[in-house]
Amino acid sequence: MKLLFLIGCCIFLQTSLCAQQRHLSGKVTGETGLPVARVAVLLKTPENKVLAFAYTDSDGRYRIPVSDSMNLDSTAMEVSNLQYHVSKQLVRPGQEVYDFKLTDKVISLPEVKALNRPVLRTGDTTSYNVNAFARDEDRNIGEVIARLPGLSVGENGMIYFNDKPINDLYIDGDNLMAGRYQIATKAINKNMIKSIEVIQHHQPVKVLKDRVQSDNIVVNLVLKDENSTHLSGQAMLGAGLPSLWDGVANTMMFNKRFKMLNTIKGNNNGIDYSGEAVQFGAASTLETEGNTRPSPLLSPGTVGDPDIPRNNYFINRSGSATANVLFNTNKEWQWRVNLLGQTDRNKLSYTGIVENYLQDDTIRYTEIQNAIRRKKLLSTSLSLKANKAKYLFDNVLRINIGDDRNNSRMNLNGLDFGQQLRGDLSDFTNTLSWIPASRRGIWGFNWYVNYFNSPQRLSVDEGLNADVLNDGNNFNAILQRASIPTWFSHASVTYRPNKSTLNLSWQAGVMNEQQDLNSILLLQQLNGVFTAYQHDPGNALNWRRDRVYLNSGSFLSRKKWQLSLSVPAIWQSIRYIQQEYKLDRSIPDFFINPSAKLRLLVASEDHIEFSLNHSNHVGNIAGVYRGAILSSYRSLQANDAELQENSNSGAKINYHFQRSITMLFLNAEVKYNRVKANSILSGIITDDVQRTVLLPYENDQSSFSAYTGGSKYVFPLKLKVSFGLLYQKNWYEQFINNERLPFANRVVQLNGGLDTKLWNRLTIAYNGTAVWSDSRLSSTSSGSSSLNTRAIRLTQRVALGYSPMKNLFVNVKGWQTYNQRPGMRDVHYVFVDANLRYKMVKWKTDLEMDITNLGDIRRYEYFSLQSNRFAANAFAIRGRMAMLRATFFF
Amino acid sequence: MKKFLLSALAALFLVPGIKAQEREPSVICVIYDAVHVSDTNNRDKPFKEEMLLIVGPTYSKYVNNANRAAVKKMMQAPPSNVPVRVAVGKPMAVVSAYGITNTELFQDPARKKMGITASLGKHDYLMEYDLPKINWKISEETRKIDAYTCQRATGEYAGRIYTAWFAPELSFSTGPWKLSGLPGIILEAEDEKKEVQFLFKSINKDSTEHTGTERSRVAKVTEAAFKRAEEAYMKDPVGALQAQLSISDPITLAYRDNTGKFTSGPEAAQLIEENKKKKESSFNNPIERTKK
Repeated sequence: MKLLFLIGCCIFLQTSLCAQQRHLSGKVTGETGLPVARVAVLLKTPENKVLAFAYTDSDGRYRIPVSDSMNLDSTAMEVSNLQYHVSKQLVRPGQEVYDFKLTDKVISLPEVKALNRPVLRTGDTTSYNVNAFARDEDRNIGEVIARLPGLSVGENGMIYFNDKPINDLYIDGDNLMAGRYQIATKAINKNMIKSIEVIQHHQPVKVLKDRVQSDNIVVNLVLKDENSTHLSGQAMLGAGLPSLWDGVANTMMFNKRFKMLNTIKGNNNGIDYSGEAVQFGAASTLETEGNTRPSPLLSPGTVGDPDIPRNNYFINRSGSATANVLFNTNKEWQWRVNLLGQTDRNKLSYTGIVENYLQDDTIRYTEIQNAIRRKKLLSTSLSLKANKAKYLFDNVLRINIGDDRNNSRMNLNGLDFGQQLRGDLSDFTNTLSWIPASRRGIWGFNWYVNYFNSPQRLSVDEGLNADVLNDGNNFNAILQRASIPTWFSHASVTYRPNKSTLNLSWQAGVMNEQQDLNSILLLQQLNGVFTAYQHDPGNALNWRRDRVYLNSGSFLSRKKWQLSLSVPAIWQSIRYIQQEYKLDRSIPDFFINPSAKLRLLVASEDHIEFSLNHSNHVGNIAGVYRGAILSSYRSLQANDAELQENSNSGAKINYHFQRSITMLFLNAEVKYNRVKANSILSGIITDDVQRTVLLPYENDQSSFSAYTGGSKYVFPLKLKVSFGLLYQKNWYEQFINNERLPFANRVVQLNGGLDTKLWNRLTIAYNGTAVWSDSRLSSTSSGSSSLNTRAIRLTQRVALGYSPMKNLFVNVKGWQTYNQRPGMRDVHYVFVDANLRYKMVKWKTDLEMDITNLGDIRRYEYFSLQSNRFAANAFAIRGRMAMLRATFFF
Repeated sequence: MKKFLLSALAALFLVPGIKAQEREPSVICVIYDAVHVSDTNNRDKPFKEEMLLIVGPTYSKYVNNANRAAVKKMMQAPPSNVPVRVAVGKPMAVVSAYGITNTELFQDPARKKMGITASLGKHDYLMEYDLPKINWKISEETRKIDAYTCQRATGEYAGRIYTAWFAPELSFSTGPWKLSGLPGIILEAEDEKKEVQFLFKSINKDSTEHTGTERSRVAKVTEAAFKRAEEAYMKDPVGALQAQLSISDPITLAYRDNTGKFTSGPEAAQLIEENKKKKESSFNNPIERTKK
């Protein structure tokens, strides 16, 4: 009894002692109602600090001791565990029991902000930590991207991932630039970006996510601060000798709701902005919509630009302004406006010798051109988009207008004359997509409509080739006009049933194309009167193409392989009428263009892909006009054949190897392609004029290529090494002066590069390309014909950087080219540039001194070789230049 | 009766189920600089090691990060079916400098268990313990470590009072060495006298690691039994290894110092002897001052 009393006392004492200490307790259960053991229940302050905590026992019960001294005002109880959603309850005075019911989390891994790991990979996303790869001397994010293993950047700013061009570049998940991402990579400071993500198999349409396999690769720039309302940017002013100036102002603001990037630039020191107007991926859009356009009918008759760094020969005065604004509304709607305006004037001085090799003769002409090229472009794009889980609505209106003028003084085989080529551009496109999900499947409605016109006018102030153009009578001048105004529309409906093991999709579409080809060739006679070219009345060709198609696609995905098939059936009708030539053709066609792709998933990041395709193509309006067009001052073109039809069969094997963690990327590809055409291009060459006619002979063109390339990053050395090897062979036939000649071209190309930073001081970058090419007649009879040619070209780039002290950078860049061709003297050039930069951190300003072309080379010569046509070209280029620039960052 | 027999049988199989060294893919890896003032007469020359904490959804593993590179390399080498001595020449009896962590330490916070594996010659051993229960006192003081806001907690373990900084954002109840029991990974910890420190070096989300043991055939032993085996091995490493391999071929004696450098032959014997003496004379400040 005594004992019992004692025990009773003890219990009483115990409880009275504990009276100062309360407990917050409760039970934690999961979705199924079962208790959850060993999870931490935290008592947190409003500042999110842990005040006390306890673990649940095997029954899911917990008890957190709370002393009276604790201030429980606005504290909360929280269960935070990897496998469950965070659950929170506010602590209410008087309430001591808090039960939790947890819901399972699908993604069980926490968001780890790993700042130290240079590369991370989750699923299809490879994320590069900018801090690990950026260098002090980098000014913009583009320079960092170029250094990332697996990624490379082309001369025009296009980004490639493991040798495949990326589809788009996003800024914090939003496609602000609408394909012109080269502007953004130049303007965005590396300090704004936390990481660079490469997302493979990116499906931009939310409705189609996990339903439609995509091969898109997207690069996403992840912002350090996605809620920033700070307006940042940079302003640069530069001046130099001989009388050079350069200026840039960029402003940008990026946050979740609003994104903006504006640029304004101008220079006369060799920087070309025209590359900024290129919308990467726009060409493939035209291709998929079926809206391919004939190339311009008239040209100034010059060779292309010299193959040296552009700022060495671009003698210019250019300006460019862009505005890009994107706004996300609360209801997941997105507005976007992109404006771009450019003006450019540049001079090109060129001397050329062109040789056309025939089997027993060589035709040679010399040409001197001093051209002033002027260009204006205004490009706008307006987009309204809702990318929701239930549907996608996307409307994009694009308007491009521009004009292009080329005034040149020419000298052909000693004859002096002037010419002007003028082209205007109007291009309007509207693209509408609506992809709603219904209970049974997903519908897709797409409509693309385009108006395109680019009228051209070529005038020559000398009566050239009087015997061809004017029956041998002398005359004063030539005027050629040509245009192909085009209306194009493509509408389609797609349906993808939900319950389909084959991931079937059905598509039906209608395509209409309405074109006119108008051209007239006028000659100004000696008395000043314009008369039409006598031999034909020019062109007023009317063309209509209508197409209806049905496509069934399927996609089968298993653990180890994926198979996709597409079998479109196409009914097409083409009608073209040219009354003057009694031409009225209707060409009905039916074809099936099947394609198949099998992808074997060899390892988590590797795959082998086999693809096969067969397609039929019909030529365009530029292949059927009958009236002669003076396509350049020395070439008169006309057609004398039916529409060119060709069928194309291709096979490809591709091996993609990727180790994102150790940063090793390899890929290899073998491709064979064969085109069967029903007509062949024939050239008739007389002393001054080339006349080309399409002749109705069946012929084959085939090509084989094998490529392997890769890159590897060595972390301790901060070294990126890359290489590529290409072998390519093409077979084709060409008519030259009534002879049908089979040609075979071979190209072997090897390139390698490395980029490293040693002792945090010295940077070394090397890039070299060697190309061996030859072209020969493949028929055995011709033996060592003069048509056989060979060439070797070697290009190397070396950049050395040294940082003698913090914030001071010295860079020397060398560019070397070496060309060798049997029977010609070797061509060898070395361009050296130097750059000195000092960062004034306090003033947020960079001072920069640039000396380009230290060797003061003023003339550049190179040779080009296309089957039987050889050209030796010489350009006047910019000599030595010195620039002083100050860039202020804000 | 039948039921009872069945459950008894089931219990028999389940009892050995400490799962501390179970293998699951890693979620987070934390690298620490472990600093230990092992000789109080030589405070300016503490013993330093880079350690790696591999955290999985339920378990964690704590290993020497320097050894780790070597282990990983070995794992990548093609598996060979040929006997070890053919592959490496002569078998080697390795003695490491005192203090180097060659063990793997596993925490199983859910079951409050801890496991340690160690090797002597060619034999691998596993010792099991209860996870030390530390009565942490949480303070409201916070500090940023890497990208994480960490909160301060203090607690006593094995005769030292530790200050730990844990990250509630990383809701794993684990930490370096034997420290655990806070609602978040302990990213940094040190004792009052700064004689034992686990200093944060880096954190990453590496899913290529795992929480299982790299050792192949572990024998479960008690700590006392292991200590005896260790003593015997240290007395005559060559003999012990010969006995383990049951061969009479000559065996090379090798010594691995703090930097991971190997020395073999008579020189090794001398270094081992020196190391032993040094241990007796200067290792006067063990991490665990009281046995728990």
